[in-house]
Amino acid sequence: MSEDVKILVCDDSMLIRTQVQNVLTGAGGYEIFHTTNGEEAVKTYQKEKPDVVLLDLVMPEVGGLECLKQLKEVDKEARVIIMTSSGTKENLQEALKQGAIDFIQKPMDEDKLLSMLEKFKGR
Amino acid sequence: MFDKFFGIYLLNKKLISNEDMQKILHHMKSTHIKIGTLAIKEGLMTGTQVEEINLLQRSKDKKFGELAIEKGLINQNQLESLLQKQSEESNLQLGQAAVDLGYLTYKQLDHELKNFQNDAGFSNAQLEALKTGDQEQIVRQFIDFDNPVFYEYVSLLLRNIIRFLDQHPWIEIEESFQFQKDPAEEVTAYQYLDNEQKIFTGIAMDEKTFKTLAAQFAKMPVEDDRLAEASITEFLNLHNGIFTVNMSNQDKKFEMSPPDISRNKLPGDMEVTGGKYQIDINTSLGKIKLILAS
Repeated sequence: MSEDVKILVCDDSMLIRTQVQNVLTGAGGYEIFHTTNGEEAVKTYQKEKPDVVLLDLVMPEVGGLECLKQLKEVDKEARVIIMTSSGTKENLQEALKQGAIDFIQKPMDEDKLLSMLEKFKGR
Repeated sequence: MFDKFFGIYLLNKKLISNEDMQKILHHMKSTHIKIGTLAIKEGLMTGTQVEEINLLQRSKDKKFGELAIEKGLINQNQLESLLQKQSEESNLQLGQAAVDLGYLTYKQLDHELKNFQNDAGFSNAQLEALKTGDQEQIVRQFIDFDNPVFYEYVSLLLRNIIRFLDQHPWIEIEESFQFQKDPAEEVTAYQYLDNEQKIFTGIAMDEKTFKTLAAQFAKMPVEDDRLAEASITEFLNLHNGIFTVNMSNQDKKFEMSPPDISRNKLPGDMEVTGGKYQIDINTSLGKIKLILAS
């Protein structure tokens, strides 16, 4: 049996964290870690070495783009998917330039989220 | 929209009470006819196609008709015919509901519809905006903002309320939309948008409405206060996110600060120098006070 895919969710919204938790728990096969800000996300990443990070852009103090930069400094292979409601061309171009692998628009389409994460199973 | 003002007109003439109005809105909610339903009825789209478009609407700030055309399911002429049918039905929906529930007779309905334009004191342009239900025009005809982006902001908020919270929002028409005083005994979710000028955006409501709308947006029970706060701030954040994307497409750049909650007053550091506005938006789930300032 393959191991669960480790997902690190970094979003300051308790609602988004709860919704992601519900979707992934319902689907099964995921181990989920939650953080509410960029600084905490980098620490948890170093400790847990997740397979994928789901990262919000708009957060207090260390925002999503800064957090992405720090994650890439810690591990240049870090796989980061941006979750955002403010997906302006500039924000997304910047995120992709800094090494994000994909993005998902809020409100999240549950099926889309699951199909994005499905491919990391069995790796 | 016409319906809502006809409803307010009936309220002002004391032909119906506030309680009657709530019941009428609930009755309308169960009978509201959507473009998708009309398209099925007219044999223009299948149920599966309608569901596909509804799903697409969750991720795109576009109307049902626009998406159906983009997907090649209907053409522009067919959409116009559907909108016409919807408008004919919706203009009379509130009146019909008032008769169905026994608050008005058909004779009274006929009489009041005819008197509505004269008594309500609207200009022709204002009445036309109400009849067509064009929210952008309604906002433009009734509110005098000092910041032009606020027109688009309010129109988009009404569309997002329809998408995520309630089918029947309507703006309370006031003599002045200037912000008066801090909302008492209310919860305000707020967020700043930065460009050359800082914009304050806030939605205030009473505790009961706050909980009801929070559960509606989250699509789950929100007994926990923190989850209710997270739900309403996320709604505002989502709306502001769509607004900044729309503005960015017009080469107007805004940066969003994280949203926050304030109880019984607006945040003390409300950093604005321009006009402050309050627009009361009624829904069948309660009143939302939109506060905008720049």
